[in-house]
Amino acid sequence: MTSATDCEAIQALLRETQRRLAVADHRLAILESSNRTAVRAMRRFLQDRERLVAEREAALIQVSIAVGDRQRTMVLNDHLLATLRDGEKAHARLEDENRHLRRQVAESGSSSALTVDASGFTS
Amino acid sequence: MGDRSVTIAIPVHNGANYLGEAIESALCQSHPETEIIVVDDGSDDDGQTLAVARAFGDRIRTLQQPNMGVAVALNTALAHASGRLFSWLSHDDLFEPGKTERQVRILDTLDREDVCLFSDLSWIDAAGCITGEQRLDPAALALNPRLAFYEGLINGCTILIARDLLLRVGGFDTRYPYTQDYRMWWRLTREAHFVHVPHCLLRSRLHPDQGSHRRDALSENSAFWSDVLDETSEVEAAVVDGSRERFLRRTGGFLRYRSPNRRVADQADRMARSCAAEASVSVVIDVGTDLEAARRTIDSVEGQTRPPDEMILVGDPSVLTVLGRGGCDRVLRPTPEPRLPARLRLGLTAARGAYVALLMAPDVFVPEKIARQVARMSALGCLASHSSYRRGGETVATGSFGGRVYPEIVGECHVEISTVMIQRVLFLSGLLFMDEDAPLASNWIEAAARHEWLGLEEPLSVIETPRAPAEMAPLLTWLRASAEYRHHAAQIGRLESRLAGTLTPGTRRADEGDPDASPPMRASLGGSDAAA
Repeated sequence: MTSATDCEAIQALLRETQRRLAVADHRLAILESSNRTAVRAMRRFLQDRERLVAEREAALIQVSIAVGDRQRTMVLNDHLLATLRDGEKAHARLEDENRHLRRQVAESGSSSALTVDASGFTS
Repeated sequence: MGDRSVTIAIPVHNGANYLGEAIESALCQSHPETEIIVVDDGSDDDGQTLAVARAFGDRIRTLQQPNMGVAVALNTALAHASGRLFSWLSHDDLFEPGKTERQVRILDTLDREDVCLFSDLSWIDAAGCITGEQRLDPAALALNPRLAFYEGLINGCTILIARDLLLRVGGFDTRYPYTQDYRMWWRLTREAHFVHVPHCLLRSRLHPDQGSHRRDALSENSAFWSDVLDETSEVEAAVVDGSRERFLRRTGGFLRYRSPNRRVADQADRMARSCAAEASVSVVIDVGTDLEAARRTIDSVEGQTRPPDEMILVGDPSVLTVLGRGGCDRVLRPTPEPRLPARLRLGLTAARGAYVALLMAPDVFVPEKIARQVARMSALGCLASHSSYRRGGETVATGSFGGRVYPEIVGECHVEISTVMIQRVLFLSGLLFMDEDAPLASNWIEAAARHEWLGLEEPLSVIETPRAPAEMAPLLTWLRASAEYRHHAAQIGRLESRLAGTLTPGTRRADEGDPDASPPMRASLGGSDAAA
């Protein structure tokens, strides 16, 4: 049979164990709650990150298009100016030819004047 | 955007081993409006390939043609496709399930018909196990989109593009059975934008019996890159790498170390070595009103150790008539226009050279000016450069001002017009001399905000009257009115202080053109000859 002293000791041990268990439960509850908060925060951070990554991708695509447009404009300007210069050269050549023909006509005294109209050639 | 229909074309020749997996991956696309066309390119494997395709019933369309190569097969698919958008899947590769949906979403957002999307990819072995990934730098490609083509980074099976655009550029070139894809991308770089999607959307299989490993494929590949070297214009090269020389060196490196094209790499290196000496150069000369001074200016250009290909003479018609035509190819641009930026614009519009030097009479060039400045710009890939100059027998070391000079240039612009040489592509970008009422320095600032300035320390011009100091007052007015630059308070404050310094009693107003004013020297920002 357990003595009163032993019984008291067991009771004390039980109380102490229950107290420690309660503390452990409390700590676990705190941890669980903070873990839930952390998981929620983590999820939110991940969502934010995903959104930011998508925004960065969209921005880079816009940059790529803008740079591409600028580069194509340069190349097109180059072609345009080359065409313009060719047109000017052709215009000048036609004018020279025209002058030459007029002179020939004037020298030969012919009444039928041959002319090549160079005006408005460039376009 | 409306029509979101997509056609996935799968050309195949004797590909029974992997075709089924490829078709499955196409059928697994989450995008609903997807049509799959398998083109059997004359398989002669006793009907095995055709049997694989036919096993999918009416979930796919199967077309047959005699064996004529991938290009013809793709063109057959293009001709029979009903989708507005087009993508291509090799019979041995696999699409990731979200490939089409993701790319269609991007094209929807962009709402443009001139965009070709391509993506990262993962490599798989014959058994389908992932062995690696090709992930490209999205930021670098955004800033230099054409690099994707010139670095061989576009895998045809990652693309999504409007079918009409492919048809407009003539479809795939059937003369090239192995490089029809890269020939197509090359044409598209001129017609469309390549936009990188930074996700692995394709599993690309590497296996020993791939056609691209054959000798005739390698030889066609070499011929292709040789054509690229020969036919890429100065402007296109400068757009990608800053100069043709840099373009050739980078392409040579790519061909040598990342492709089996050693012979073409050697060709690129040879071309790069002679590039600067062969580059075309124009000099735009504002002749002023003093005929004798203009003659001295022109003589200094004709006396260059490396003469320019042409001189563009701009200015008063009466002066130009007297100057007429001379030894070097002279283009005359007579104009009564009193504003210098407008006259320079007129001259630059006429210029054909890849490099354009600017010169105002009565200033002159030293004999080595063109050779040295072109060589440095070409080697470093710089679009804008200037140099130190001599004045009254002394060197004014403005050439130490170089590198990334923005925003410092807002407060201290030491660029003298008669020392400036640009690559014509900079003018073609529409940055220079578009506002004829703006001071010259505003153009140098506009250029510096986007590109590095190369500063050459050696004096390559002789300048009678520096114009930069005289421009401080109009520049200040322009900066204060500029939405883009007026927030640079510190730099504008410095300009104000410098202007106040030149306006102390006993000196002439800077905006009246003080002949004694000389720009304060400052330490180099990017080091001597600093550049891109």
